[in-house]
Amino acid sequence: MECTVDELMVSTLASAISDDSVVYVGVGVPLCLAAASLAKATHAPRAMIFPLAGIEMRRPITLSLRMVEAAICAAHAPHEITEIMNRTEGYGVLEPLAPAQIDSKGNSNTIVIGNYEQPSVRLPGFAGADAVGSMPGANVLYTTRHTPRVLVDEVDVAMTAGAWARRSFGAAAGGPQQLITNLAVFRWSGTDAWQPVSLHPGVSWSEVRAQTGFALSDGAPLQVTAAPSREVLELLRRRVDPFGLRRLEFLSASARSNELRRIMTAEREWLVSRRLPC
Amino acid sequence: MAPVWSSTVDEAVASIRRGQTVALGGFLSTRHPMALVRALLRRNVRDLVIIAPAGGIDADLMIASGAVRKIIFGACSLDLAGPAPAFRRAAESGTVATVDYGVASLYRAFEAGWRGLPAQPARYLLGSAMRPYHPARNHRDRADLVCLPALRPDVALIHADRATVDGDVRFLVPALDMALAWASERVIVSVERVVDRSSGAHWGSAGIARDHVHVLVEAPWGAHPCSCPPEYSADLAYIMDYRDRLASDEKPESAARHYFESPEQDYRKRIGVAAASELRKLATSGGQLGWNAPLMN
Repeated sequence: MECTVDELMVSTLASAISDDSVVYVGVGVPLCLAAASLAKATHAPRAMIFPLAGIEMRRPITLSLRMVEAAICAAHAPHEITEIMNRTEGYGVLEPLAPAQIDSKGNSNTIVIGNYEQPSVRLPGFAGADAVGSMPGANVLYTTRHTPRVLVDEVDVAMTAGAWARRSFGAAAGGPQQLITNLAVFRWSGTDAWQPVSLHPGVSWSEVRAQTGFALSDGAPLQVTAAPSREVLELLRRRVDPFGLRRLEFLSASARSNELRRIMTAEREWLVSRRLPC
Repeated sequence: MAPVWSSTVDEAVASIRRGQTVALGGFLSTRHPMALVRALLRRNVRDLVIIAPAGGIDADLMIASGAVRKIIFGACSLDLAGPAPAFRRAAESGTVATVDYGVASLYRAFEAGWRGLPAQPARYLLGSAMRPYHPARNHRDRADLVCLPALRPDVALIHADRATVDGDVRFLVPALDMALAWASERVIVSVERVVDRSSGAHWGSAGIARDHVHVLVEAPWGAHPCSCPPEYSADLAYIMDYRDRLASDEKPESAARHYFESPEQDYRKRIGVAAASELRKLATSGGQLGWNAPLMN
């Protein structure tokens, strides 16, 4: 069954979540929330998913723009905020980050484009990355924009450090170990470089190299990124994300506004008919 | 000391002075203390330092109106509606000082504040190039640790789901609101609903006990255009309208005035009956949106 790149990224990110994972889902990342909900609905029913500060999502949910909090609250268990904060220091969690820039050393940036003191573009800031970037254990980075402007040789401001810089501070192994893009999947290798693992269907190695702002090794990866099964895809389309919020992360500002309005209309229609679009 | 009930949001924020440090509850587009923020902006208090763990339209509107000298923040954005326009413009032009803190660093700095400690160590910012700009200091002995100086805001502004008549406050989704309440000298809380202690309205979840609350005021729709689960959803159309208006050529201060100048009781009328009813339905129907909902085909 044919799947689109957003669906492939959701299922790839979902497969980074295992049954014993503890996952923090940031904000403004519906693709990541879809992946967490899909994992919980399929191969990782016992994974602990924390999508809002202080709330655990005990069951998989259907994503929406304006009903998502209610859906999460209906499936929720309250947790102490101290526990939420402590966990990132004690043993670490999986909190997939979707930074504005990722570099060849595994550093990432959501602070500014340009110089910190005189930025050309001000970005949202750390959010939870002051702690998440220092956690013991492995984490995942992803981007829906695999271009030389996002995958750069060196980020403008290294908000969080890759494994290379972490070691100089005496940290154990860990940090970003996997990078999922709209073209390919990479793993952080023992030689301190992003090692391609698989290319998405229809993507060529030369395209990946041309779209990456740093040098990649000569050999092309042999694998094609595994597509989700028909059952998983149906579940994603019909139950986890029938309104298509996962696609928002791929859109430019104006296209995103139109899509937000389309989804708001679909939600209004759902309120009337109580039937999900798909 | 028992908290005092104010009869209006304007009265509730009357003690806030020019130059004070004001911590804002809620996160991104959820449960920001919007009615209190609007009341504060109507008083035209200037030179404020705001602390926004996860700022959204609350912090942005305050910046747009010219009330803010410095923002200390974990993150600031309009979530899926995009960048916070006034925050972004002010940061890029340097008209407002920006102090990148991170949510976890803010939490630990608040914790040091309420425990009366000068600072608190944490394993944050490991290998981050932000270390020279961050208020965290190097740990004397350990390269992997930083010390976060205590934060003691003058005032915390919080919007909560429930409070009892005697002043215990409860949240369904707590975010960092308890931490900033415990750390602040003065805690001003608007609440969606006042409940009877015997009504069983304690959800067994998070809250602030009444000895940490100074001023309370009942303010239905007090988080609008942000959400207040489980009462109402975020008014995304309103937030997008704000974003577009602030991005236009109009001067930010005059564009911003549109969003806070009318008194709170008129503000509620402006949401509109149909829109308000839809936001309530969205907030209560999400639970039925799950696995049992019928599909279109």
